[in-house]
Amino acid sequence: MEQQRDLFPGALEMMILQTLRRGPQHGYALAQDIKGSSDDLLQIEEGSLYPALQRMLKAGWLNAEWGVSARNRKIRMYRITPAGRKQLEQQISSFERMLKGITRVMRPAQS
Amino acid sequence: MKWLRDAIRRRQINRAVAEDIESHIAEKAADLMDAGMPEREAQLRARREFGNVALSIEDSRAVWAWTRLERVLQDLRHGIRLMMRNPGFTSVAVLSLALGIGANTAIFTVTDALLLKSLPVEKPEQLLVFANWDDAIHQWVYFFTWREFTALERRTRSFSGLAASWSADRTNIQANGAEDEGPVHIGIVSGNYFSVMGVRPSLGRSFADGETAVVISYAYWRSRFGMRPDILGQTVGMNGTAVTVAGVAPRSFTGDSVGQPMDLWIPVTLAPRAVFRWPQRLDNNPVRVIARLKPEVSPRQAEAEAKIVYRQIAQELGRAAAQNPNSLALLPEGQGISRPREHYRQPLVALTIIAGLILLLACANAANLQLTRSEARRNEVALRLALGARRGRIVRQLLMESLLLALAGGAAGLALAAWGTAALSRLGRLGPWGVELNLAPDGRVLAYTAALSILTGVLFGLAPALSVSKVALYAAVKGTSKGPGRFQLGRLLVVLQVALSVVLVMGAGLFVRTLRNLKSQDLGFEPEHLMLVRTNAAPRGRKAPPAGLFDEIGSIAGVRAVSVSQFGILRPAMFVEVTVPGRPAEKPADRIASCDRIAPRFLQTLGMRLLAGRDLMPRDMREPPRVALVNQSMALRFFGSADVVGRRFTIGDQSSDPAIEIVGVVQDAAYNTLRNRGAAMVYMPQGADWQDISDSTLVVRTASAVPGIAMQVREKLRAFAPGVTVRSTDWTDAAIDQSLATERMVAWIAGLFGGLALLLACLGLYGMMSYVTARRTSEIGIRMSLGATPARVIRMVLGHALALGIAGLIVGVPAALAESRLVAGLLFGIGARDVWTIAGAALVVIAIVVLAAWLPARRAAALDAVAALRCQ
Repeated sequence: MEQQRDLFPGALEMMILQTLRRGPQHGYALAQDIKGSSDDLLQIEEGSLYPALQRMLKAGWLNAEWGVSARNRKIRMYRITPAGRKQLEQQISSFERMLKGITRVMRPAQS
Repeated sequence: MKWLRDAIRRRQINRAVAEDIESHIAEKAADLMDAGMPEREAQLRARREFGNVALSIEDSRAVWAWTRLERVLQDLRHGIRLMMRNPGFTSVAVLSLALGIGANTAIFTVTDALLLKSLPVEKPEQLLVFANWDDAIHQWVYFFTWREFTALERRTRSFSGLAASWSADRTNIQANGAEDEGPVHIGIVSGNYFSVMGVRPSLGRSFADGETAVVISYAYWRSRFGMRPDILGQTVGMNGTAVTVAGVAPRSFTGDSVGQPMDLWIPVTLAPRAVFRWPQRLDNNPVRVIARLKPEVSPRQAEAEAKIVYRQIAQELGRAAAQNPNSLALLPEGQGISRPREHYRQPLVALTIIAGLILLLACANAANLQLTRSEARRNEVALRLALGARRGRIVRQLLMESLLLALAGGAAGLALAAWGTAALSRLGRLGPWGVELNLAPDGRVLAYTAALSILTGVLFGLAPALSVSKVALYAAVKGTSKGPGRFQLGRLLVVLQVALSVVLVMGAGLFVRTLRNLKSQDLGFEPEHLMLVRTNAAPRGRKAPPAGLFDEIGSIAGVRAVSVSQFGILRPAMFVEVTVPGRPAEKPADRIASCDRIAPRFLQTLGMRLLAGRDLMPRDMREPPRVALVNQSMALRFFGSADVVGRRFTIGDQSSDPAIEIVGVVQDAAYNTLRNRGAAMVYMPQGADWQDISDSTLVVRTASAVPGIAMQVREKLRAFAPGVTVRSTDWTDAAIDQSLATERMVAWIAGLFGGLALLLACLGLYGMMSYVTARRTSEIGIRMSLGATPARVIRMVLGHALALGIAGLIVGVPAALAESRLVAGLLFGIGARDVWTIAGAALVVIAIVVLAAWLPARRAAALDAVAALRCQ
């Protein structure tokens, strides 16, 4: 089940939640959005998006319903739930703590 | 039904994810096309950038629970399809596994019932039995006198209850208005027996000491009373006494002697009246003492207390103490005590070993077949690995196929086991102990079979599965993979098969020769045309039978001679303690001899040979006896000489009785058992009432196997011996055959499995050699083009096979010797290290090795060198 990821565990989920907080999206747009807003710095593997979405559906952070895309194609729209928002806040705060820690460790080496 | 809802939901999710991903790719491709990319390229790129679609779907699905099971089901379906596609492979593997598992299950069923199970009583672990190790007969002795029992009961504090129990099968019973021809097994117990055992009658109540009451077993209630609901209060006639039925025991409880179910129980106080030949005074009655521990007392504390108390009692009783107070022990009684258990322990151990080996062999065989087959699937496996299947998944799937085979084998094995169990239980019933066991397969047996099947599947599936999953991707897909694993593992398996065959063939040789030796030995009497008629005890207080019964039977056409003895041949007689004046025996074992009480003309009727002196005459028939016959072994062991006519000895504690004079010496005979011709034997005269044939064995010698003679003898008995019922009539040669039932079964199973082992080893080796020669085709082609002759090629292939065979022998022969040492106690007339049997087994196995390699060798030698070279 464990695959090699460039990201740390939970990062993908966090980004998905963050993106969806701005409004419901379908899978492809979600992937584009994440890529785009990271200025293409993060290459997320599109295939890994769907298992993550399922995990989050199961956890109740998201719900999904069928809709129609701009190109008139049947798509699945993912929407963040209140539980998902709460989860995102927790993840962000622990992420920030972690980032602070890492930055402190890394800074002397740079100077 | 939740799982069904989940399953439906999972299918929906499955579809949703797949659709979702497809629209993802389509959207992306559309975007790319908008940016000016040609449609085809856009499609491909969108797909490539997405990654592995199937894996993504599978991982998405894995998020939801149950997928593990679903995968198992998928593997299962796949496995079943594969099994159906290879019926030949499947049936050989399933059949050999079924034999292995079936044999193990059948033997476990019997072993469990006879050796392992606890009595169906409350808290069986609290039950203990008083015992004493008797060096003379190398057995635990369980009897104490009634007086000792009551003293123990009064003075010990460790027990919540102490019960007395003994059994007898010689009495005369009228049940439900009819004479019961029996044998009827009577439990003779103290009034608190059922409460100490922790058994509540399923109907009515138990009895108290002093009552004229009986508790009947469930089986007896069913067979003799048709489960009459008004059974309570009915009477049973026992030895002329009317005894009231107080209760019916629960169905599961058949007494404390496993394998010998009791038909009814009476209070010990009733035994002198109700049981034939039971001593009239209770004090010295032998009883088995069963104790239930108080919960807070440990068995060791209880034993310490019992030893002290019994030492006091023995001191007070002096010489009359039944047991040596120093070697008293309290043994666990939770499984009951059972003589048949001791008798069958060794044969069961031997059969367990044989069945275990054959299962191991079936495993090796199945592993080999599985290996060959998965080898053919190397490319499929490589392809699946290349497509992103995980190694674990592949191993799991291959294992699943093995498990499926094993479970199919287990299911077929259960059917075989039912048949095998029935055969074993018939043997037990016909054997010397008349063992009756409840052998219906229960949860324990099913659990054992299931566990065995799964273990088997893993055992033979794991190595091939691991070996195949280690395939080198690139080489395999190109089709040039050779898989070194198969070679090593396959060779190892063949060596294992050969080694196991040696062990099994050697075992078969030993057991078959044992059976032949037992059958062909000089018995010391003439078994042909000799009828054995066993009678039941007659009721007390009947009229004395008229004299002349023997003349009457003798007058039946075809009858040549008639006589009678108390025990008769081919069954255990009684032991007596012999003392020779002036020759004190050093070891207690040297004081014990077997003894039967015989009538005039007994030797002549049986065809036993008198070596010196004279036969017993009617005038010798008196109580106490003055004269006796002994056999050669008795003479040599007790007197150190065969010339003992006129010498004297005493038996038992009867030092006050006049010494007994030896008037004749008889040749040794296989009297009590076929195995112990050399046992010391004393033939005492019957009492003056020797013509009263109650509870004895009549021997009738006829001119030929006259049909209907048994009927005529029965008629004469009815007319001239009123009240005596016939328990059984058997021709002696048939009875001998029957008494060899266990040996025949062991020899038969060992022989069958030895043959099967050879067949499986042959198949394994043949497969192996075919594979090897096929792989070496080009090498052989080169050799032949360089001038190797076909004979040389044959020699090369055979040499290879022989090397494997010899490796098998090197492992197998020591293993066979170890096995035969384990079963040495079962052999007769042959040593456990018999050189000829070992050599024979080795030779047979090597012959089979050569036979198995012959065809592949011929095929290799017939190769066309050019074609062989072109093959690469």
